[in-house]
Amino acid sequence: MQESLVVIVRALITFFIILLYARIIGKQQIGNFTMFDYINGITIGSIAGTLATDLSSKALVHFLALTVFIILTIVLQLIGIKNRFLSKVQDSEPVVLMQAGKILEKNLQKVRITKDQLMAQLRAKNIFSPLEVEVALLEPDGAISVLPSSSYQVVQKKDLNIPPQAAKLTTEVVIDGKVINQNLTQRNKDQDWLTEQLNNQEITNLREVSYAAILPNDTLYVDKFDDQVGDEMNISDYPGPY
Amino acid sequence: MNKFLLYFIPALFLIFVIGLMTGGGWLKEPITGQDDLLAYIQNIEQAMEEENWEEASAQHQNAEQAWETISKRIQYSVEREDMLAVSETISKMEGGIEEEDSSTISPELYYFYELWSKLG
Repeated sequence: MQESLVVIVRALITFFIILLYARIIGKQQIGNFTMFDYINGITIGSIAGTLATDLSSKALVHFLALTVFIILTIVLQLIGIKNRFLSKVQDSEPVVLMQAGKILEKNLQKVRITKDQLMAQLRAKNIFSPLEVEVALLEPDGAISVLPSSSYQVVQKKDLNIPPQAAKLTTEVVIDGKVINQNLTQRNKDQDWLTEQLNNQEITNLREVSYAAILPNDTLYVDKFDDQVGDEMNISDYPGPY
Repeated sequence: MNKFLLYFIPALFLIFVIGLMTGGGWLKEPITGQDDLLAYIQNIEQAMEEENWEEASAQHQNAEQAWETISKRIQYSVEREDMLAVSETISKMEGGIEEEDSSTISPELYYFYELWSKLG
């Protein structure tokens, strides 16, 4: 038995199966990483590792276990989408940790979070005083959402009666000297407009452009390969290499 | 077309992989005509009963070559321990044939038949 060859083949199979299954599970797994998702992910990884390297058992056995885990994950996702009650049974629901600047100790105890952890999470959201908090909620994925009390809320355009502008995305139109025509069309622009904009910035050859994008205000941002940045921005303390 | 390939290629990959992982049962069967391990072992048994040790030795050589071919085909779908056990029993038969001792070959033959039926 050529064990090294078998391990290589099984590792290749595992790699692509994980890639395929991760695509099937979707992005939800990363976006809402609950405790269950975390443990489930570790278990799936462990089974995959065994599939690649444990030659004392058939690859099929581990493949089946992996498939069962993925199917169960998808089934639970679908149940969560279809039934709100069962979704809450699965993922629990948000818990209020602070209200009107007051820490709710009973709820903290219920979700087993210390006051230090709560304060650290608030600081991570640039809130350094409990008085700034109107409501703090612990989300099912372990993140804390904070509603600042009204006197600490950021002033918005509508508060100052500034006329709103339609929100747009930044659209990439040139990457590494190659024009992305689909994106140009999406923003109702054409090659001539792009050439004109580049000429305005004294760029005559597309090959000079590393990255160009149409900004939300319809102007063109251009980054050239030639950055003309000196060594004054070098933050290293010694010549190196380290 | 792109959407078709997006589903077709992963589906084909899964079918191929499942085939590879479950294929031990049929990949152990003879394909080239010179890799019929079970037949060679049965020939050894027959030669042993007739006490034709030269023939048993020749059949054993064929069996070893056949096993080398088969083991490369089935190594992705069977357990390492099962493959080692088959190699071991073929080696033990060689010792028995060398000694012309049917009492040591017989148990190995029956152990081999058992392993072979479960292989894959």
